[in-house]
Amino acid sequence: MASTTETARKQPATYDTRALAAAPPSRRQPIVFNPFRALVYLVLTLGAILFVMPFLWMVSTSLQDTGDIIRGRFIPSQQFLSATKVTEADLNRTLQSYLDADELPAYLENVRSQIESSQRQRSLTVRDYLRTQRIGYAELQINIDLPIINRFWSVNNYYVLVGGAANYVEAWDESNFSQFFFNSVQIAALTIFAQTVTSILAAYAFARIDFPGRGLLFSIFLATIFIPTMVVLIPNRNTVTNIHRFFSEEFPAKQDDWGITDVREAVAGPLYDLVDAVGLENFLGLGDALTVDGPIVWKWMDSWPALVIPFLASTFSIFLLRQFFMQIPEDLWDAARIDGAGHLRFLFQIVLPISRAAVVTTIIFTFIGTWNALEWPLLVTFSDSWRPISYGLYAFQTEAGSDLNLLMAASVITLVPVIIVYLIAQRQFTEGIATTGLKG
Amino acid sequence: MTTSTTERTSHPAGSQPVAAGRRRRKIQEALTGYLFVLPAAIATFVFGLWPVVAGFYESIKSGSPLTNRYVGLDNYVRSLGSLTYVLLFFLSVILLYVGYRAWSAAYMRWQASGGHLWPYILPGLLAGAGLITLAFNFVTGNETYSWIPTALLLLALGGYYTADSMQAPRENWDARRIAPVWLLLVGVGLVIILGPDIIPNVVPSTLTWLIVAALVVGLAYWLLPYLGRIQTGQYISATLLMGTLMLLAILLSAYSFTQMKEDVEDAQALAALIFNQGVLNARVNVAIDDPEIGGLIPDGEILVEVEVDGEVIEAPLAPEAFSALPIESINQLQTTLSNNQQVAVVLPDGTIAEGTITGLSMGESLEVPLTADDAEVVQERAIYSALTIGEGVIRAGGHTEPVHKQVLATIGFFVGMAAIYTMTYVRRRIDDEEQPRTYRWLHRGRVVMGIVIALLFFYLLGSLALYQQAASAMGALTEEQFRLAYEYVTGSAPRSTLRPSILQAELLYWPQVFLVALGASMIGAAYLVWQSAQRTETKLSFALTILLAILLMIGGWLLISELPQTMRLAGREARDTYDATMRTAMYSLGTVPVQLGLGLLLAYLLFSEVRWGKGLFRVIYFMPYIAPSVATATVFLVIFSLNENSLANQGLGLLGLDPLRWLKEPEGIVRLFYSRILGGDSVNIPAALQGPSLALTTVILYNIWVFAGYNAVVFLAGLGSIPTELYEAAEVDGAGRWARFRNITLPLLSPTTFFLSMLSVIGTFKAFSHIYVLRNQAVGKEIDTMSVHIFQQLYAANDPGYAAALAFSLFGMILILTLVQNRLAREQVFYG
Repeated sequence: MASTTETARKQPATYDTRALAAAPPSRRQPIVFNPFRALVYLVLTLGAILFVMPFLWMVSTSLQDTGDIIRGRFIPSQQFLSATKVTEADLNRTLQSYLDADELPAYLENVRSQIESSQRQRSLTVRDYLRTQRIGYAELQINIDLPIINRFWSVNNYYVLVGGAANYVEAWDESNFSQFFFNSVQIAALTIFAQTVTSILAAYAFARIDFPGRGLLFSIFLATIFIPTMVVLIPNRNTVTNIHRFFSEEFPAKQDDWGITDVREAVAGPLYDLVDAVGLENFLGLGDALTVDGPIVWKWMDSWPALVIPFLASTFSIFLLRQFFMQIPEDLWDAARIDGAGHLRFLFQIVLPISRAAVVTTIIFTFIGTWNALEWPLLVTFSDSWRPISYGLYAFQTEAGSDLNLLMAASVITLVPVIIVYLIAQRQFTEGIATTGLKG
Repeated sequence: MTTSTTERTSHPAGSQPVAAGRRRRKIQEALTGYLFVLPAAIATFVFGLWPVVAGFYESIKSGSPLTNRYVGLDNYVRSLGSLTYVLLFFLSVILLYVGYRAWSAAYMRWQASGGHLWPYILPGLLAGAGLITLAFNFVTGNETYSWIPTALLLLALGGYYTADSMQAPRENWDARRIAPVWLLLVGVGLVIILGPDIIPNVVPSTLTWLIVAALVVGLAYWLLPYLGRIQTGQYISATLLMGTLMLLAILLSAYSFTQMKEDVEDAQALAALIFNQGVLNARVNVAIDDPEIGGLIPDGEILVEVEVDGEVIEAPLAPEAFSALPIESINQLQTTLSNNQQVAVVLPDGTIAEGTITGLSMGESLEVPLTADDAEVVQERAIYSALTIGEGVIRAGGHTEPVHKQVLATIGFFVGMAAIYTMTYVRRRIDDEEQPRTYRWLHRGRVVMGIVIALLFFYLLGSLALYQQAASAMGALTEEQFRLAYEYVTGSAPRSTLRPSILQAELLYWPQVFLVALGASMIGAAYLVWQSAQRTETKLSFALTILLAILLMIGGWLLISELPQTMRLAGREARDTYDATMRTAMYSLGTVPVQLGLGLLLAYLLFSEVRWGKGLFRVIYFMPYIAPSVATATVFLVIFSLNENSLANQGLGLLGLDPLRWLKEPEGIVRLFYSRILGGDSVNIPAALQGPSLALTTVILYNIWVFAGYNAVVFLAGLGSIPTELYEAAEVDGAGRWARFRNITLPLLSPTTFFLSMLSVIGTFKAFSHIYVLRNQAVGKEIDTMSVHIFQQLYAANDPGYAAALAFSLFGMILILTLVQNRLAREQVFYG
């Protein structure tokens, strides 16, 4: 155990000694101004500013109001955030200047019911509603700066959020964006879990276990890297669309058979018996997923299986992990085997703890890939119930593209989880890239 | 691995229990391995490899769920025009090449280790044929001949086993070991072939499957340890690959040839029908009683001497002078005037008067260039020229050459080139002192071959000219005229899909296939000649060789540059494909070198010059790579919006420049630079040189921003693996910073560079999300690269068959690029 950690950290260790060796002379001599190095720092800093600029612009725009955006300001002129409690009297006073006194109660009731129903539909915000009413948004803004967040709107108290950060709350509520966010979290979690497990097992087998056909199988795996996404997109959509009909008579839908009829005849019978015997109806919360009588209907389209199952395995992760596992010395395996450990135990107790950096790297790559995916969700989801955040942002941009501050707030919301994950795992990530030998 | 070697070296006959234990352990090990790989393998096969087969199948069908019928290569021809055939031929060549590579690797191993390699060829071919027929049967659902692949594969298996048995040293070569395997194979074959007829009647199907499964498991259990001990796996896989690919290549080229021949010959026959004198006459007689072209005006001011009302003056021709001319008297938008002809002229006072031309000497005539700015007139002129060209075709004595003659000539051409190459190669190998005769004869053979090739080449060029004449005549016909001519010769109206432009494209298939193939092979030859320049002895021959290579290169490019033209002719869809491909290429070219260079620079600076803050810089530069591309692309939309207060335009303002329209700007950046910075007229820059449009450049900037940091991190890893002693030694020798970078860092980093460049090129071809987001605000299809174009065909146009065909074309491009890159890398990359 100790010897492995030593070997695994060997490379960083040599760098450290080099750094130490270089340190003493510089300590003895006074720091000399090196113009070249100063230039390098200048260039790198300017470059870094340039690279960070889009992010800064994103954040600053998300905190601005419309006027700032039109003027192209960088620093938002409005305050960051303040939530003020507005009494009904305040609101009434504001509204009274536009409405007759006898109209007011009915109006407020109307607003309230509208908001309640919109919460159910999750489509209409207060602002949207007010826009359609006689009292325009701009007029109401005189005293009560919108956006008003509907969940703060209770019967007697009106909390009004004012300032740049309110954009975030509004973006979060706009057109199901929060739902997209949590959809993405679930999809990412499922994909990461499944992909990591399959990749670790496969990579370990490719690196450590001697079985016939290993080389051939691995090269077949590697070949899939060169296949463009667009090639597999179309048939995979067909697969996902039709898979729930796999065991039903109506499949294949077209005249092509692919030998499926034979397989169905062989497999479906026993499977129906099994479903009947165990009682697997409503399995995995999929509704009519597995029905006893009749064909098995497990619809993948527009549900999580369509978004997760095609990504169960990742050649890239397998390759990366295998590279790392190959560097683990053979002696360690021999020692473990003498101690009576099998492959599984060796993998989970010795290999994985050493390979944390590589595993974290693959997890981050998987996370980024899932969080970013756009073309596949566009093809296999039709309703908001399982659409991911990348789709949400895309739709946001196409539909509500004029509210740049809201759009940028939505972008920041999309960005933040990735940045957080990256910053937490940053050290392991760079180590993973460096040590897995991503150099051909 | 260590266990298997010990087992092989020690073969004690007495240690039966130990061997059995080992055997069990080996089986257990292998089963564990399969079990571990299984989940990933299932997912990869179902969602990674199977789609390639299914997608290809999709691409040869019409695709829409309602009319899901087999259409052959139609989708490809729609998307690529004649390039389909070019690519298929190249694909066959590549398949052959890959098969050859596998074979040569096995051959080299055989040379090194001894044994027998040749016995594997026959089973390889058999297995290849078996696999191909199996796939064919599987796809078409044809079950009548299902015993053929089974029999072929079983035969191949037996052949492999026999070949393996021959590998062993002579004394172990034992006929008894082969007999049971053949018997077993025959048994299995009988069960598979006859089984379906017998078994279902005897036992229920579930039980049958259980029995079969048990048999398979038992067989696997028995075979596993043997499989692990196979030392000839490379021989088997190489011959299998070679057999399959070779047969596939032959089938593919034969199929595409017949397809092309069909298309071309149809078009040829039609062209022959249409362009005959009868049609020409009929056309003139049928449509217009008195054929004349109207709306022509003199090109520029032409002064003539005329007699108006008895007075001889010099006056310019009136614009209406030739408002209508009989077709016979004009030739290529130019007419001739002679004495005593009535023309209209503009008098000095501005009025127009009729006059007769005088002042021309006897027998002389005045050539008047004509022009027409009315589209209708141009069209009529096109009719006229089409008919003249048609006449030209007829006068050329027949229509076009038959395709098979040309194919033979082409094959002869390529064989001749190969022969010259071989002779040169052999000649370089042998000693001219020892075998002077052979040496001389090889040279003579080379010369003769060269002459033959030249003759074939000119024959082919001549036949191409015929095709091109016929094609341009066909292209010049308007649809109306084509319809009339078609009706005249066949007596029925043409079907709606048959258009002169399609026929024109089909007539051009052959010339295009030939020209592009020739151009590509010339570039290949240029590469070989360039390589051989290093072996020349004198400076003069070196210069000559280089010159030859450059000439070949230019010639090849000239021939290949025919491509855009042909794609344009092949219809709107092929034009779209061509544009998308060009944009992708431009995107790739604009992105990859810059982001690699920037990444290397960053990595180098961070590695060698920066002591503190390295981690921070790395995090910052890497951030764009990990950030979700939909989010960052959205920010780029805002930053590069055409609003004059957008960040990009503010930046331009700081530099004192006018705001640009960024994603809404279809104009090329070279033109923009020329007109905005240099103050010239952008029309002066030809369209071919205008560079990527500003919209595409914005996408390129985005890509660089995203990937420079990633490249830097990978380069940093590469830099870390270069031993420091090298730098120290170089420093002692007095090498400066640049010399060290040039001579140590760059060569030792070349594997990383190669890896990254490959990844980046493939990445740009795959790029999707950010372009798809940015295209919302972009002008037209200006940033639709191939991937986006394909996706649009699938998602917006809902044409999966066509999209699949496009996707496979993209796949082919990526494959060719990868192979070329690999080939180039072999000389340039230094693997320590």
